[in-house]
Parts: sequence; C-alpha cells; structure tokens
Amino acid sequence: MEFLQYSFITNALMAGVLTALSAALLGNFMIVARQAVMSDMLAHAAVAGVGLGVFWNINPIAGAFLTSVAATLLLWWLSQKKQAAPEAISVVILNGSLALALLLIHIDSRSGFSLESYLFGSILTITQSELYLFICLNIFIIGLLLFFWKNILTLVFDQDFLHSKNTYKSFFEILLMLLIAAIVGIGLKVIGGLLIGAMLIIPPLIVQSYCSSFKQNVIMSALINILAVLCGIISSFYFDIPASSSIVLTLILLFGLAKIPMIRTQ
Amino acid sequence: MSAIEVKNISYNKHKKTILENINFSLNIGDYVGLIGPNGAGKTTLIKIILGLLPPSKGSIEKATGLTIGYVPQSYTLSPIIPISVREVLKMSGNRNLSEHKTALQQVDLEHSILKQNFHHLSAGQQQRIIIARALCIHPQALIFDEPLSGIDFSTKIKLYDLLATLNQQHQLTILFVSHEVDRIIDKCHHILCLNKTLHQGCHPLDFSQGKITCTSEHQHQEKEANRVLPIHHHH
Repeated sequence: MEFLQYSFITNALMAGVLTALSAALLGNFMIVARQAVMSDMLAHAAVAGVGLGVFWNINPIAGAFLTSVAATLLLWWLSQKKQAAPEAISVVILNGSLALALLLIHIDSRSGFSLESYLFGSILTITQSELYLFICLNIFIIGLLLFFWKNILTLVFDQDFLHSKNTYKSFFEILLMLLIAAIVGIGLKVIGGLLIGAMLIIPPLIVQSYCSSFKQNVIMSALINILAVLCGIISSFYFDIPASSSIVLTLILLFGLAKIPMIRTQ
Repeated sequence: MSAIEVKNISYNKHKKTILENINFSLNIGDYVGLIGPNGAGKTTLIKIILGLLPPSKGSIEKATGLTIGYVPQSYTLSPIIPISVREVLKMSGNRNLSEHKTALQQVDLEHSILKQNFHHLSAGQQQRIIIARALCIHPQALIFDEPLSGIDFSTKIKLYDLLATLNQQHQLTILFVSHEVDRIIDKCHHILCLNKTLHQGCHPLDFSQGKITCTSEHQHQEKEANRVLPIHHHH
C-alpha cells in the first residue's frame, strides 16, 4: 500500500471514487432516457469550453461548465422546437464544439496549451483546489438525484405519466441534463472528454441482466465503476500506464465477462 | 351527478382543426367508450381533459376534488435497465406498501410480483400493473388509452372484464379510449364516436366500419338531445 503515501494518489482516489459513484447513478437514468449519446455531445462542448477558458484566461474547468450548460440548454430548446431529432442535434453541437475548441487553441497557440489532458483525462494531476471542487460537485449531483429520485425515474421511464400528474416535466428534463453537464465537467479531468461516456454507460449495462430492480442496478453499477477506478489508478501507479485507459479497459473486460454467459444462453 | 363535463371543446394546431365543438359529460359510475380511427384526435382530447393541453375553445368542468387516474397508451417502459413492479407503483407518488398490495389485488395479481422485474412479465400483466399504478392515487375516474398492439385477444377480454368489475364494484368512472369498437361494445354503457367531432346519432359498429359520415347539421340537431349515445344492438 506504499502508493497511499503520495498525495497525488489519494487525491486521485477520492476524486475517482466519488465521480465513479455519481457517474453510475446518472448513467442508469441516461440509458433509460435514451440520452447515452448526450454525454459525448456535452463532453465535446466542454472541450470547447476548455479552449474558451484558455482564450479568456479563466480556469479551463470553469469554461467547460459554462459551455456544457449552454449546450444543454441549446439542445433542450432546439428539441422543444422540433427542428430535428435530439440525437441529430447532438451531432451538430458535438462537431461544432470540437471545431471551435481547435480554433480557439490555435489562435492562442503562444500559451503552449495542450488539449490532450482534457481529451484523455489526467486523474493523477488533480490539484487540491480541484479536488474540493469535485467533491462539492459530486455531492451536489448525488444529493439532487436522491432528492428528486422518484420524479426523475418517472420522467425517464414514463414521461406521459409524469405529465399527467401535473408535475413540472420541463424542470426535471433540464435538471437531468444539467446534472449530466456537471458530471461531464468533472469527467474531463478525471477520465477525459473522449472517455467519460464509458464511465456513465458501461457499468449499468454490465449489471443489467443480473438485477431485477432499478435501485439494485444503480448500486451494483456504482460498485463496478468504483472497482474499475481503483484498478485503473493502482495499475497506473505500478505499471506506468494511463489511468483513463486502464479504467475503461477494465470496464470493457467486465462488460465482456458479464455478457458472454448471457449471449450463450440465448 | 356529472363527474367530468366537456363543453364546446375545439382544438387547432398549425391552422388545422384537430377537434371541433366537442360536447359530452361523464356521470359518476359511467363506463364510456371513446372510439375513433387513428388521427381522430382521441389522445388530444384526453390531454385536454387531463389539463395537459389548453383547448383553443371551450372548457372542461370537473366535480370538485375529482382525481383522474390515467393509463397512457404507450407505457412500454424502456426495457434495457431493470425496474421492479414496486418501483413502477411508487411512480404514482404513493409509497404505502399495503396500498400497493391492495391495488395489485384489485387487478387480480399476486403480491409476490412486487419484487419482479417489470420487463420480464407478460404484456397482460404489465398492463394490469399500469392500471394498478393509476389506482394507487385513489382516483374516482380512470382514463384508459388502449395500446395499439402487443396484447392478444384473450388478454384483451380479461382486461375489459377487469375494468367492468372496477366500474361496478368501486363505482369507478371509466373513459375507455380505443381505435376500434372491438369488444368494448358489450361492456360500456355508452360509446362516443370521435373523428374531429363527435358523430352522434350513428351506430358505433357502422362508424368503426367507416359506413357513416355524419354531417355537422346532424350534430347540431343531436346536440341538445343526448349527452352520449346509448347502444342499441341491431341485427
């Protein structure tokens, strides 16, 4: 357990475990709401925010939150106006954001800023102040999800029914999207914009055939996600490999192991 | 006594008339069928009655304190992630376990089903659970929007019997919405024929076979005469 004496490792473990927990919680709701692609869209919007942060000389993570919230509201508004299917709008925003990020960083090339750590994450370089920010945001995400659990569950499974109870449907729609934007902002540093989707979507799919209730599925996928993050950070320390890559590969391995018996019995 | 009164409801969307001058009332204890082809405006009318959609013209009057249970047409909850029957019932806002059990009893299901994954149940069982969920809010009226497909004939018959029992034993006012006359004709007290406007004075069987095209003049004559059309079985 020698790795525990390093503060960069303990920071990574704390941020990683908390993010794994809230990502698994949110991921379950996202899959049911058919918003699995949305995490990718928001992650790219967040990358544009990083570029904007560099350009305006503000904290890149703050820039990321700003643009992913803006992208969330834009997507919601355009889907309400029924201009195109949400997933098609997502692709437009996704590519536009990435192009904008490239442009902004090119203009500001003198700073020598590298996008890579936000595309692929760098969990081992999380600073003390970032750690505090991530702890607060994760508690905020988990708290809101637990508080509005029943309403968000009804929203994602059965919108019509939520609507018929005269509950504010749009409020919960926007809330869910904002929570996804928040987890994506955290995810940029923890696992990277290109890989955050894995932490959200894969764990619920791994346990899905073995659970019989939503609550069970959430708890099991959270445990799987935490396991993958621990494996990732520890293997990164001992074998000097990128943590993001080993987190995602651990998840993929578990996904394969969980699905093989299911496919064989079909 | 009337539970729900629909008064002169019209609804236009994109300059197209979806509903025109709809008038009827549901009395307490009524079991009324509402039939009409696809695109007749059935779902729009339900949404207006439930207060989800403001009508372009007219008004809905409900008895004070009336709670309406709603069984939506598409309740096919996304099947990828499991959800237990108990969790489905909790969506009603009622978390009381013994009331969940009572609701399951009313739709003729065992308590042991509570812990099972909703997606692993048969279509007929799923539909009963959705009705139980509506019953969990203790409604005096129930609006049942029949799913278009996925339910076999014998399951349908059982369901019609179940709704008739709920209607008789619990004085539950029911508005049964369907795209076809099918078998509801035997169970309902009245049938409303909707296609943009209520076609009164024609027989539901003829209406559903497309034999009747009522004119709006018919409408005005009938308007005063009858709140809903009673069924006369003709041979």
